[in-house]
Amino acid sequence: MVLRSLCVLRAQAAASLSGLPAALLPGGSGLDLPGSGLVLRSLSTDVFQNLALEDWIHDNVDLQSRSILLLWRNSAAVVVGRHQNPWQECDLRLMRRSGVPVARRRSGGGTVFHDPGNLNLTFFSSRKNYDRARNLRVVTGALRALRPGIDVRATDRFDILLDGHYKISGTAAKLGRTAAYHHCTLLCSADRPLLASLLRPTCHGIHSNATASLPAPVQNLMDHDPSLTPESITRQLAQQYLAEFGSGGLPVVPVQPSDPAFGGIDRAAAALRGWDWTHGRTPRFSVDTALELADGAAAATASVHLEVKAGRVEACRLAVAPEWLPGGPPARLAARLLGARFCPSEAAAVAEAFLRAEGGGATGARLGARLGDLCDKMVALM
Amino acid sequence: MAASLQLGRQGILFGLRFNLIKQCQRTTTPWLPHARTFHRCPALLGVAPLKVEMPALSPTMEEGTIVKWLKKEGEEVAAGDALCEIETDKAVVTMESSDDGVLAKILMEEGSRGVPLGTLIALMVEEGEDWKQVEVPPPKAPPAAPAAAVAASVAPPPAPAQPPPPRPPAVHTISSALLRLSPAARNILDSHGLDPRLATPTGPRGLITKEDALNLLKGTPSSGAAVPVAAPTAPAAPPAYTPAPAGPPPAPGLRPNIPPLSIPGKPGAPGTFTDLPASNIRRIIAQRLTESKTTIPHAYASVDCDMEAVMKLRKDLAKEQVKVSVNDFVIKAAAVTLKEMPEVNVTWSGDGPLALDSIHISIAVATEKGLITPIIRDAADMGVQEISATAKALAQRARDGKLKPEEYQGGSFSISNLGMFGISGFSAVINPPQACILAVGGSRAELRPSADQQTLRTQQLMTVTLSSDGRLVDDALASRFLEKLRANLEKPQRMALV
Repeated sequence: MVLRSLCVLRAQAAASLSGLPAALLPGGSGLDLPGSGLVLRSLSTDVFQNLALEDWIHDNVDLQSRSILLLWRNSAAVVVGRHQNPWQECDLRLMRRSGVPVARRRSGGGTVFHDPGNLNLTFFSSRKNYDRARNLRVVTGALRALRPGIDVRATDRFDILLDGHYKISGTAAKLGRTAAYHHCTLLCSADRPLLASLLRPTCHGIHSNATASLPAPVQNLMDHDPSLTPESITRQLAQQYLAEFGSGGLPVVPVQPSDPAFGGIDRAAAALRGWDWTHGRTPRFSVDTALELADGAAAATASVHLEVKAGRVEACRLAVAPEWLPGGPPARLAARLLGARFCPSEAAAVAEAFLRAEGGGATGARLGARLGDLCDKMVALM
Repeated sequence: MAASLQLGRQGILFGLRFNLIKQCQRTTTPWLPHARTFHRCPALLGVAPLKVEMPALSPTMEEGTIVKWLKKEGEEVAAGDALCEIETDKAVVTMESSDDGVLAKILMEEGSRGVPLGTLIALMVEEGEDWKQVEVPPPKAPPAAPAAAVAASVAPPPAPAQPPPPRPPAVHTISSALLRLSPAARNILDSHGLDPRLATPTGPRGLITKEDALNLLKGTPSSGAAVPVAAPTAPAAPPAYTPAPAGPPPAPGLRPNIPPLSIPGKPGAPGTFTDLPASNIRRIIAQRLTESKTTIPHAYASVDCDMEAVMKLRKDLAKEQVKVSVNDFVIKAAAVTLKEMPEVNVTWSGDGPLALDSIHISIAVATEKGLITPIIRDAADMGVQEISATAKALAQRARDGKLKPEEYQGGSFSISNLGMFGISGFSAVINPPQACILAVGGSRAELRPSADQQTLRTQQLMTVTLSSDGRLVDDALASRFLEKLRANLEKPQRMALV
């Protein structure tokens, strides 16, 4: 049954998906696929589903004798590295307003902006055959084949630079016990103004051990040469990959992650979408900043010190000039924030409850307004 | 791979330590004859751990970040199980355990950044051992400083000191009025022959804990004190511990753990010696000579050269007011020979010969500060006169201490001439990373039968000894080199041909 579906694949360029995952799984049937390179293209544009697909292939496919290239594109998202701090990397407030989600991948490295104009490539191989330079040669080779004379070079940090200083690709990797994957981006026609505005952190005063991103000037390949569209690059990459890694005679196989044959991808995608993974997995950090408070013409600053572990506030200290606000309410607000998630919706709920509790006391309208302002600024911090 | 090799070696060491602990069990305590010794089992002394160190996950990796521990303390680990995730160089790598055992203590928590290679990140114990009793190694003494100046810094202490192991209740303790020792402390003091009265107790109710015993052993009153390091330019190794200069002499009969040092102002007691303060240069020379002699396999070959032709040439040149020395001819001959035999013009690159593309000869100059070797660059392309002038200038600058670093660093071959001191022949120590050094003696007159065996003639013979790095220039190659050198010296006009 498996062999027949493989023959179907060979005969037509269409994908017969139910046979494909079985063929890739260890257990013998995968050995029927001759050649050692295989190119897959994901039909999903959901970043979480694609990340889950990546993990699924890494965990479930026998990569000892075969290498796989997965090509995927997402709708707009910001993807941070495994050990990074999203508050430090991007403008979370703007992202929430524009509906751009933040995702955390399992490999290391820095933050990238994904959108349909940004092509993602994941090179799967056994841990022994893990060779990032070889993979990047496939990419630079493909680009040179499409546009001879283009100046693309891989650096020793495994970035790809166009014309010597524009970064068009960044790399990250994950090495498991027996298999490894190396993925990189390729900027074809991404929305650069959106990229620039989203990758601008707004929460200042963060001290953390998280991996920092190295900002670099970027350029789209399509701006350099209009013929370099994501589609043409995809086709050329597939050709180059199969030339380098051996081809099984199979064309690029489209893959739909939501296919039930990929057991468990939906659950994995949901876990990757959850707040506990995207924000909660941040290594412990502290925030030391000042809030600008205003009440009509008068102004004051409050100093804030927060310690956040696993995305939840572990310690909070608020200091406001006593003539602006008495010491009691800020201390009570700080106490209420303990244990809450470092996230605006939850902080807003806490602030709401706090204001209601305080409002019951003998506080004047002015004080109430100032307290409200303090709460708003605290929430805006997150 | 590297981690498994390390842990394998640690496994052997752990086994040996275990034996040592067993041996120490039966010693009695001589100064407390009334105390009853109880049966000590190794478990009371803490379990010797299997060390888990930060592995090299790629050839260029220097440090990593611990992203996540995949096993908890007390959890069983099988060889090949994933222990933790480490981020390095934009890759998150799963580190596997290479041993079976139980994860006993995590020393570097999640989120620890910039952990250098080889740092202890966790401790494991063998299966069946009590992982709660694992011995946490004390903080390491800071290593000898590199050339850059370092502030006295203490390595982050791995874990809080282990509380003294619980004493079994049925024990008849030593008279509590005098001394209270924890079993581990007693074992340590026992096996090193130290007086427990010298230890400062820090445990509850005057208990001498294991840490106090270890401190007494080290000879420092405060644990973890960093030793401030020597001058920036000299990579000198500071002494491992500084003995108190005015401390009381060790009690007779007890093994002293500090070597005796003469104290200024006191007349020299028997067995003491005077320390001459060593200058920076001497210290570096001492270190490099030791490094050379101990790490490079020296091979020696000597040959006698007939210096008649050179002497004659020198005399002829002197008549034309050109002053050159025999040594200049030797330098030229060596350079020319190196040009003819480039396989001798190599350095050791770590695991094999590295051919050099230019011939720079270092000449040894004796200065009052020590022996310095300034370099004559591209000696093969220079004439003897030019070599002479350069050598004179360099020697003068060396004596004045005005040499630039590029004038004495580098070089492919060294020549040391002690002929003017009346030495007939000697062997020199190679200057790493060079491959050879030529030791030139003085010329002496010898009577030899002439070519036709009928008469005797006087020959001016000069012995040269080549010390070569046996890995790069073996005896056969050295012999060929010396043959050619001799040919060049005995027929100086050959040198013009090359």
